[in-house]
Amino acid sequence: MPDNTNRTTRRAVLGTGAMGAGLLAAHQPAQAAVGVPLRETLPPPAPAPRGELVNVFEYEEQAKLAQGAAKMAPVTGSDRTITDRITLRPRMNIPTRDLDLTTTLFGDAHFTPIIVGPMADQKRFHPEGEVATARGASAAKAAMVVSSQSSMPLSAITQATTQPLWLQVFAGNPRNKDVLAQASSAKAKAAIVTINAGASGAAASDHIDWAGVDAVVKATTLPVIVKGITHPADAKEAVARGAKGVVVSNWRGGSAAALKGTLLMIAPVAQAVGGQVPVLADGSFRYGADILKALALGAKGVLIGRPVMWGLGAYGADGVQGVVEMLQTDLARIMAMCGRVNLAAVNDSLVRIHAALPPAKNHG
Amino acid sequence: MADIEKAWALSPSRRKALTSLAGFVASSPIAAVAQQDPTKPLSAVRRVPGLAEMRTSFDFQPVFEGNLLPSVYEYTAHGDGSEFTLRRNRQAFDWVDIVPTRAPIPESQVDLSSELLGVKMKFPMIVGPSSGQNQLHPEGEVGMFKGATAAGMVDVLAGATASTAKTAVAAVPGGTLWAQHYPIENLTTMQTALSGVQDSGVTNIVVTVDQQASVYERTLLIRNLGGRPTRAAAGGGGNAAAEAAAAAAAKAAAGGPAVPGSVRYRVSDRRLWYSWAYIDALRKVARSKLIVKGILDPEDAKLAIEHGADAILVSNHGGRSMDYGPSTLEVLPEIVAAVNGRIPVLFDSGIRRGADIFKALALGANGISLGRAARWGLGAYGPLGAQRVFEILKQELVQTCAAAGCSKLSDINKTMVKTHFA
Repeated sequence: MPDNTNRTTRRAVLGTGAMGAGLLAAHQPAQAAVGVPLRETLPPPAPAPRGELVNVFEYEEQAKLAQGAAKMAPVTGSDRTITDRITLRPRMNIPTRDLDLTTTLFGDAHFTPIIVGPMADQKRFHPEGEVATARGASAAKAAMVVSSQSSMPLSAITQATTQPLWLQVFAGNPRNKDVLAQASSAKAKAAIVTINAGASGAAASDHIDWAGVDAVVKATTLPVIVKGITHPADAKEAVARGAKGVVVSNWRGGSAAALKGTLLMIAPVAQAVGGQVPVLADGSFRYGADILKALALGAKGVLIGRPVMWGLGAYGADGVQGVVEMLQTDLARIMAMCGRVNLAAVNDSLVRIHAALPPAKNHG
Repeated sequence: MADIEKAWALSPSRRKALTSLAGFVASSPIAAVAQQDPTKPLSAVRRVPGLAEMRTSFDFQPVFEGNLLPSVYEYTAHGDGSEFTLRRNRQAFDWVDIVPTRAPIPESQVDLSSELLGVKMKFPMIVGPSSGQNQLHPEGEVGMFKGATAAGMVDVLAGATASTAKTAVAAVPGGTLWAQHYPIENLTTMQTALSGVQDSGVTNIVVTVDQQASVYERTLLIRNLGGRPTRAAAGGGGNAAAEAAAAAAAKAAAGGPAVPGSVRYRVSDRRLWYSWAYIDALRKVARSKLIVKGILDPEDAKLAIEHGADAILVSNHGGRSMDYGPSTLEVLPEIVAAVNGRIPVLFDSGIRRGADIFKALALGANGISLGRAARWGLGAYGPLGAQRVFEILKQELVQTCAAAGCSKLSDINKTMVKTHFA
């Protein structure tokens, strides 16, 4: 408690009469001179060793310390409101020693269904940008989506990757054909086309540029995944136009800080197209529990965006590996706690969805 | 503390009242004398409240906190993960209203006696198993058993061994002690251990099935104190086991010996073998009643009955089992429905008031278990403190029953409450 609060209270209690003033005067702490601060400002906290961090939010803190809050501002924030409406339903006494989080996506075996999502211009957060991210993701045995707005050459990123690599483009961007032509030299395994974010990634209206999607499907033999689906009708349309996967996502360009999580959008989309193509999701996955809920609701994988950038900004490639491994371990742990030994055992019997707010109570 | 208690403690109207009270007191001649030495350090005028001033279980908590090292306090305070479920356990009581349909009765007419799992109880309350009570008070587990016995309650000894059970039973004549047990993978070892424990005067056995891989993050306490533990704290396998798993996984990834699946993902497999077959094996060794602790699903409740449990304890380990699991109160009704009266259903996780106990009983619990509340009592004032917490909760329960017109346990049923689970 700051000193002036005590002093104010004493003044109120003792009054401003002669006795009060005399007592107060006697009690003034000695000061060297007017304007000398009573205490030193605290030094900024030292960056923590990476091994001490216990959750992904601590990476965000460390990235802000390492890079400065202003630099990290475009990639900060999380939403907890949607995930806080969903509880898990654990089962006891089911052996889970042989936990298996592997899954097959677009012909490749993946160690876990956690994929590093596309984030533009990663040199903002680390001198080696996407190359460091690729190193870290591969060290964690995770696939990576490379943004068409990368700040490092695709060849360098490819060289640093030992895991599946997917290429991202924005629907309607005139450069898409050239980007996708590099797919085979980049050894890319899939193409992701982001809709509704505008050619440059700026926010656009919710009218979907289907012609832009068609152009991408035409320009590549890779499986095309449409990213930015929020409604089952749009998912059906994407599949009808040749998409081999969809990503449930409400990102429309710019900062994601104000976006709500997408968990409750997944089931309707999975019901519409999940039998035909894999449904992935992104948006505020911060704990293994969040990812498990997405899988239970019908997702086959999740993309992680901002937390990977926190890892990159705080500790470079090691940080990327740390964030991804932390999420993998947390997902494995919570599957074990729920009695689900593999992804086939994960379905909607694992979750219960609650109303938006508990009913208001009179506390009197 | 639940939101309602926090809001009261911080409310502006309370602060205004205290300030004007301070002004009133200051104008008195006695205060003037006290004020004559304004340089008296605050510690000399601040005092620890006495046991007789404790009015609710919450009152014990700051005394408990003040008595203990931050790390010991944190062990009691923490929940798994982000503590969503820890908070939800307390919130859930706000989602149940007591709506009495009978006229109030005098407290003297309230008699909540029952026979539960072979024990005649004046109140359907037991002291639940919790570890490390020796860190809370020099008398440790024996002290807790003393306090429970003085309050007429069963105590459950956590991690009971033959020798700890023998010591406790010998130290507290007339007490009733049950033993808590974590599954032991080697069945021969299990048989030897539990034979020894049961030979020592313990009656019933509580087997805990919900701590396979629990992990907790640092609490706000440690963070605000600037403490930075060198490692993430982990339950279940323990931090050392989690790190060993990570090391083994790294070795396996680099071409070393293969490891179980969970270890590949850096999760210790030490407790990931639990099964209902183990409960069958345990049933053969338990001579008296077997209680399965940690049930949160109606299907698991049915399985517990099928595999020989004499009772289940609906519990999420005080929010320390798995984060983003449900509160126990919200799953209690469906579990009670599934059990359909075949075995007693006990309840824990989040009880702080007699009214909380009333709500759990109304939703079908046959009895409740106390965790943190008991620890606060023991750590604050020793065995007498534990006893006083129990007496306070009993008194609050009697008051609630009297106000609701319930003279016996069977009166406390779901017509007495309205739920707002959503």
